[in-house]
Amino acid sequence: MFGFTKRPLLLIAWKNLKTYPVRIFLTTSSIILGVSVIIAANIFSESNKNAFDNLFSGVFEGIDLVVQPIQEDFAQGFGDDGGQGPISFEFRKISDKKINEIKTIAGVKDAWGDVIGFAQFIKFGPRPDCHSYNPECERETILIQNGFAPTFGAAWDTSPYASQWEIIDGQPPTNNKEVVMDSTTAEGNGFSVGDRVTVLAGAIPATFTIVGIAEFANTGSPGGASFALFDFRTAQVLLDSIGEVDFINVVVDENADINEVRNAISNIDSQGLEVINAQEAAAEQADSIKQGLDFFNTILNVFAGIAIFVGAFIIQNTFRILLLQRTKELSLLRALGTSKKQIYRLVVSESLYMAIIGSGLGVALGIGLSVVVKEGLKYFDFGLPEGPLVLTPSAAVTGIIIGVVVTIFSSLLPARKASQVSPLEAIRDSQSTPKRKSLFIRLIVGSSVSLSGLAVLFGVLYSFFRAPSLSVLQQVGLGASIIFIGISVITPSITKPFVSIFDKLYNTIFGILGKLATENSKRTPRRTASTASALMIGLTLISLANVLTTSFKAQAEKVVKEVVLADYQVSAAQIFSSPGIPTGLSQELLELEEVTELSRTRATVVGYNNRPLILGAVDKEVFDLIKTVDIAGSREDFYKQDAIGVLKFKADNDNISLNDRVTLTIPEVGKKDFIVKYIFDWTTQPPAEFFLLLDNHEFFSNESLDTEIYFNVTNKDEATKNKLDDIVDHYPGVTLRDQDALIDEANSQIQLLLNVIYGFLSISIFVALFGITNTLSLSVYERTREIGLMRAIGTLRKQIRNMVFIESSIISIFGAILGTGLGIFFSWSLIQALEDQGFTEFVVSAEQTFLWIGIAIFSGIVAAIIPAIRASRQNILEAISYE
Amino acid sequence: MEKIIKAKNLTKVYGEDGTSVTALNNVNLDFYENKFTAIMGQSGSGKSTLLHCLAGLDKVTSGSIYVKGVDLGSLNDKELTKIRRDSFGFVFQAFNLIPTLTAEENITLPSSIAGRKPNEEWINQIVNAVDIGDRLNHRPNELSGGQQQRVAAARAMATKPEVIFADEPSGNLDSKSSKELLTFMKSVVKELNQTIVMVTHDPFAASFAERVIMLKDGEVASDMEEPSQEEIISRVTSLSDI
Repeated sequence: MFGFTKRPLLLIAWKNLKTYPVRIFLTTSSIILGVSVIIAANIFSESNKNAFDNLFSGVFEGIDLVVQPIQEDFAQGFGDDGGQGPISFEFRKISDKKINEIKTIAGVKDAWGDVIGFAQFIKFGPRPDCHSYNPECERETILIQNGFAPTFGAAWDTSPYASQWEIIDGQPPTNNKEVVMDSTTAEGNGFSVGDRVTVLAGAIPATFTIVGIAEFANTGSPGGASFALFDFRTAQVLLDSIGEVDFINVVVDENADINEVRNAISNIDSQGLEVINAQEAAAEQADSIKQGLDFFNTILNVFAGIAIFVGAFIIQNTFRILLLQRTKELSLLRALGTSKKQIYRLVVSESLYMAIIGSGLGVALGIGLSVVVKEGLKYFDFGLPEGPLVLTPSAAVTGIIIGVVVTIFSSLLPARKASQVSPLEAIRDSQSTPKRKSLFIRLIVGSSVSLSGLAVLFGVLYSFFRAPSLSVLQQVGLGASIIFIGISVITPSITKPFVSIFDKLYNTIFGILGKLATENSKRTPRRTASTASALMIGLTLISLANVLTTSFKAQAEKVVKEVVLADYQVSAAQIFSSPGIPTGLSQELLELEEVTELSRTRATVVGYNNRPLILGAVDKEVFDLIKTVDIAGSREDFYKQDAIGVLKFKADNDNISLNDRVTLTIPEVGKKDFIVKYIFDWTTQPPAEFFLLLDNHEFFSNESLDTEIYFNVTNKDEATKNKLDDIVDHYPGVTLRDQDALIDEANSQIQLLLNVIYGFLSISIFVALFGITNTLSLSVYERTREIGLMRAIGTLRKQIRNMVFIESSIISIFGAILGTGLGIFFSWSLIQALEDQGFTEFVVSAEQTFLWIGIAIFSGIVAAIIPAIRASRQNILEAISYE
Repeated sequence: MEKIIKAKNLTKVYGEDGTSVTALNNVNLDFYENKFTAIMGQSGSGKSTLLHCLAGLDKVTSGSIYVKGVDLGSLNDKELTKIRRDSFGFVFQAFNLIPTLTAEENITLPSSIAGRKPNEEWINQIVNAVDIGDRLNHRPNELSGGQQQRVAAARAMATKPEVIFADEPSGNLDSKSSKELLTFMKSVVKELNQTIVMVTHDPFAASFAERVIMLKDGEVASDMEEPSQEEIISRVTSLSDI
């Protein structure tokens, strides 16, 4: 298709490449990077899928059937992670008497119960802010958690057929003073057999002796979760399952029919129990986790896409410049009788070679990159299962195809242009000055595209134009993309005026070198612009992320300040791995004379219209401690026995109005009716959708855990804080925060997200830097004579280097300012679009903005190092000799 | 007359042992202040190599060059560059000017890169002499070939250098422009007390010089004072006959 039958041209193409390895490297560097990101993304997600597959087949290894209780309809919506978190999900369990019943069924080889629930190891360490001679130092409790992985307590398997957990040191637990620890946690925290360890299970921490260290399916622990394994009876007591188990594992005789056994077991209690095939369940569970990972994979692929997109810019640019350099050679070929078409093919086949080489190297680099990512995540304790890195052939092929296609397409335009070269060019002795097409048409086209983008964007913001079938955000996104394309088209025509703004400044600071550098970037506005564009993309995204998060932080701060009226809030330290706050804490706080007002929040899952719903309970004082807005009804009525309060959004969604009757299915009580007496808005993240007054209902007042506690104190000073700390410190897994701490916490979460985004975006900046290196190398090459002349008449090497650095800084400033401007504008638009959702804050951090512009300029200068050195080392005689 | 450059036992060999070419073979020459010297020779005679070595653009294989007593061989790149910048001026055959700078900026380029203010009075004098006063704000591509070379000549003199090196300065010009340029060069030596060392293969160009040195196969074949164009032609002919 690209004329591979024309062997002489193919040969010339190949020879050209072999003669100029640097040229190949320059052009292919961006292909290599783009492809490598795709490959790394793929390896990473494939390897994780693979590891999860192994893990889940490990979970049920040797087990044929699993018997589990049928949950109430409404509870099933919550999936497998019920029982975790501060909201108590009252899941049904199985009576442990059923185990013996199942054992008697014909064909059952063995059956044993599994108990699993929340438990967390605790260690004591010195506070970071005190010295070893202070006895208080040992009092800091540290909740052990491996990264973000959950923490579990479970019963040690009692069957000889169970092979999930294997003791690698010591022995299994045999009484209520012993525990076995998973090896990941043991290694990570320096525990060994014989040590004493405190375990937080239920509400009260207790101390055990580690009698064994165990491995799960040959890895330290499943998915990095921490496991405290107790003997069966102890597990039942600690994990709130006295006389019960969570599920029963069954091993079937080899010669029995598995389906018959399955039916026989379900016949014991077909209403309350279901029997599932363990291997099928393993596959199902692995699938559901893999779907979660797909999201991560999608993000990686988006960033790979950005890298490739930036790469395409650079490839096209580089090709154009390379071909310009070879004008003579190509026109000689034309003079010798090569047709335009053949030149075109020659160039395209060269690009094909480069594409293949680049993509191949990209695959290799991608493998390296995935190792780096994996190790990096491990370093940050990002609990992912261990396993080999997997590169599927299809992923490799896809990466190569994308690389090749993008490269060839990027070479088509430059190739066409090259084929137009006049055969006379070879004979003429001219400096390679490209014909200058008017940039005016570009300006017109680009401006109209940008204006239509603006129309789409402002159309939705100021509601004068709505695109059909697009959401507000989608239309803003569409408008932003159109504007971006428009600006990319315009950039070459605004290069000159833009650079001219800096003429004076550069002339003043750098003298004649500044003048030369600014003039050089104006000389080839297209090249300058497309190099800058690559950087512009990265900076647009970075400043978008940057401004959005700064604004979100400001928003969070505003919300916390407006909404949390209480002096202090107590909540579980880690919301997904802790059972909540033992109720003793609120009692102790109430006894303090400094505490003036206090409200507890509790929550439970109930059924409403056959769907799960979170029912919350609060004290009367909550209305003084959290900002709420009355919509309908009154608080006084809400305090009555059968009254229920409903959040505004829930009332709107479900068409609930005042004095309606709602029927809830409450696990402890059964069906119960309430009258809606109060509709209100809870201005912060609400803990529930329906609310009761806590003391009105026994099933709430008898609970042992609070979700949150809010309270005021007489005087918010250091002494009070110390007193509070003393109390709260007795409750592991619970933290005390004031307004500032709440703001800090919200901000740190946003910041973490931002850092991850920065990490990925920096790849696109990295690709853009290769573009700058390319452009400058070629620009230096083009100006061999000019630089030689300057050296001859007395320009120092250092000055030549500086000239290249200055030129690079102009390109980077151009790209960085355009990108930052666009990013700020886009984030402003997004926040405008989010106004309906309560986003009002738009904050641009000057510090961050200038930091990133600075980073871009600095990186641009780093990218110029090689071209600058090359320019300064140029042989003067070669440059000025006239042969 | 003051001796400004002394070349002693200059030898320049290109390439490795087996394939080496001797471009200069034990050349001994002195150049004097306030004099217009032409170096002639055929292609490959070593005349360009000699100029490059004298101007500190190339290193000699053996021998030494003293510029006002300073041994060029003892200088590093930075010192050599500064000598070129401050003590020498250059006019090349083509591509003499930076395309992005105006004529005026090109003329003051050596002072600019030295970070010095150009001597305005002196520059005005030169600009008038080369008659490009009305073209100062034009870029090179807006100037004729003759004008470009005159701008280059003006640049070469702008810092009042000790020596101006010219490498086939009129090589690309038509005869009228060529004559104008050479007349100007001759006049600056006389009237503005400049020193010029020019390499050329053209007897007409050489006839403007006060002294004509001829090279053949890397050696000095002839050294004439104030020769006429006819003398030069006959000497060139006799040399090429051998």
